[in-house]
Amino acid sequence: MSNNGETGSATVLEVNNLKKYYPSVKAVDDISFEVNAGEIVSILGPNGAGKTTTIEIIEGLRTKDEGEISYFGRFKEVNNEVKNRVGVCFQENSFFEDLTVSETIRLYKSLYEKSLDTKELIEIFELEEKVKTRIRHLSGGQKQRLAVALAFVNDPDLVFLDEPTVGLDPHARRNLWEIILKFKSQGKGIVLTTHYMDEAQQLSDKVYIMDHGNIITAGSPQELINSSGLESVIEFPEESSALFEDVIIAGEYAYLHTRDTVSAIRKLLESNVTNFVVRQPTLEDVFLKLTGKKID
Amino acid sequence: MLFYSFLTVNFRNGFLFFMNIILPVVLLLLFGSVFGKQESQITVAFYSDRQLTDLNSNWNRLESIPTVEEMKEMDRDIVIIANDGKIDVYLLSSFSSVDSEVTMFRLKYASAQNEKPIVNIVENKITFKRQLSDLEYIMIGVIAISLFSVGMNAGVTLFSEYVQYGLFRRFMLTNVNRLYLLLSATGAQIITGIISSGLVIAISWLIFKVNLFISPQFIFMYLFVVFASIMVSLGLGVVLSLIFKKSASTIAQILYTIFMFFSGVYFPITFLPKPLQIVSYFTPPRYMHVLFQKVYGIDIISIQGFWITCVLFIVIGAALGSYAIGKFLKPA
Repeated sequence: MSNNGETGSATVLEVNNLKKYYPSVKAVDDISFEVNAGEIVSILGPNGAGKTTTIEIIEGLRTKDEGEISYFGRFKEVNNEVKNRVGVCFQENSFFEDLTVSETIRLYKSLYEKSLDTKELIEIFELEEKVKTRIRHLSGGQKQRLAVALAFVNDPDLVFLDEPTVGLDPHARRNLWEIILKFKSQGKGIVLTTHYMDEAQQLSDKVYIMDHGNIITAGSPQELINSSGLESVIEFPEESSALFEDVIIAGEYAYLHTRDTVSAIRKLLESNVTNFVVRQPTLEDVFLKLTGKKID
Repeated sequence: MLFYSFLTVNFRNGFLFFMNIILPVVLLLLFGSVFGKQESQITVAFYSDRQLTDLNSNWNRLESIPTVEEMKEMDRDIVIIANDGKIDVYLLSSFSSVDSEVTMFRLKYASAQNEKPIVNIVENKITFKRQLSDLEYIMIGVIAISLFSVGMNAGVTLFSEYVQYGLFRRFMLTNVNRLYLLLSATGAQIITGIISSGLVIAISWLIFKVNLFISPQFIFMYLFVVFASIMVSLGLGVVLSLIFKKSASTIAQILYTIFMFFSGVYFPITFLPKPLQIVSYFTPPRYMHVLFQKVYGIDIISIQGFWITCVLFIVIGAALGSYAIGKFLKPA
């Protein structure tokens, strides 16, 4: 699936020198980025990197200390028009558990000036069979699909999706990717935060990797991979990590980034390590190299 | 749609439905069945120009026809005067159903030997400072406590559970304004309260023959008391949510239990030891009970006091609700 097609040119979100400091931590430390119409921008980072704080400031849920945010090239704050043109899917979504799917969509529609057709939205997110089911009786995946549907209920121009595919099976994830790409093709600017690196790689036009409140690198997924200097990645059990000096350990596995693949494989085989994988570098490897952490 | 959602949740959520609708009915049946037996022994005084036999032993026979003033002194629910084929029934306790007593008396009077048939029966209501029977007192108490439950649980659900679950964060992203949110939430509770109290009134009449139906001229007062009661209880729910946050729901249930017994709603406060009587002054249901008594014609509070209390309740609830909505709709 390729996502690097044409993107719109209008900037729907521009963030400049955004700062949010807490007494003990610089949650967001002077970051800048922009999102254009018809573009998917992913913000990646380990836990505590400042992603959520950044997104919540932009959404108007938190105040900022410094910096400037421009919405749709016109608005400097979250006013009623901005709210009407922004859609949000939280990482943890909550609903009136005793309303049905249909009632919930109608409720959220009623809170905006414009909205998509309820039936159309239900069809897009494949919730037809659950229209009259109360939220508390939905599965985790169905709830998640509804949460994403609600992010698009007001036909927004800018959408924030925080872990939109968490809890979905692989097939459902792929379906949701298709839906997100479809909305992107309609010119909506989408900001995605995800733990799934393959998701970010497949969907994103631009990726911003954050750590300690800073954006440490940015670019398209392929640009980030190309500029990382990584040629091959060898993945093998962590207990054999002492064989090499420059390995990154994440969980039960060690990751070796090397240009001399043949020598590394020979060394593993000589040590009777046979359960290893050699592959091309991915966005996940870039992330691992830059942050030293694997996203859990 | 927001109003519809709040209202729908009240009837679909098992806990809220139980607290708002089922529990008041259970309490009504429980207390009604205990005190209802006392109520069935309606006290009667009668004068008859015929010799009547086999009347209930607690019926008090009068030797002469009393004056109205004398009737008031008698401390009886009804006084029946049967003279020359005409029966006058004086109702001193207008809430009680006395049909069975009057019917029994009529049959006895009609079947008395060697007498003319009854010409007619006239019911006379004597208006003077009424007192509630035990059962009436309790039924009105059930209404008060059910409205208290509706309001307080709404406050806690809205400002503790919904805040905790993130619904307010979701609302922050929309253009919903605080007044609309407050009106939707309280409007739904008022409708729930009217349904809940209506159910109590209907069951009181159907099962216990206690007539708590509101006279048309008092409907507005009744609705106003429902509104005021819901608002002040909602305000208390807000306070609990702000202080206890996640445990507000548990605290609310504890308070509900305490208030049920110490607000003087199910039995007169004077039954309690003196120190505990003081507790009742801090319980909203006590005042709600007083307001409802006024609606039912009991002069326990002046009309000025009635309106001032109602308005005060509404202002307290509106102020606290508005404050909480503002607080939770504000960026962190």
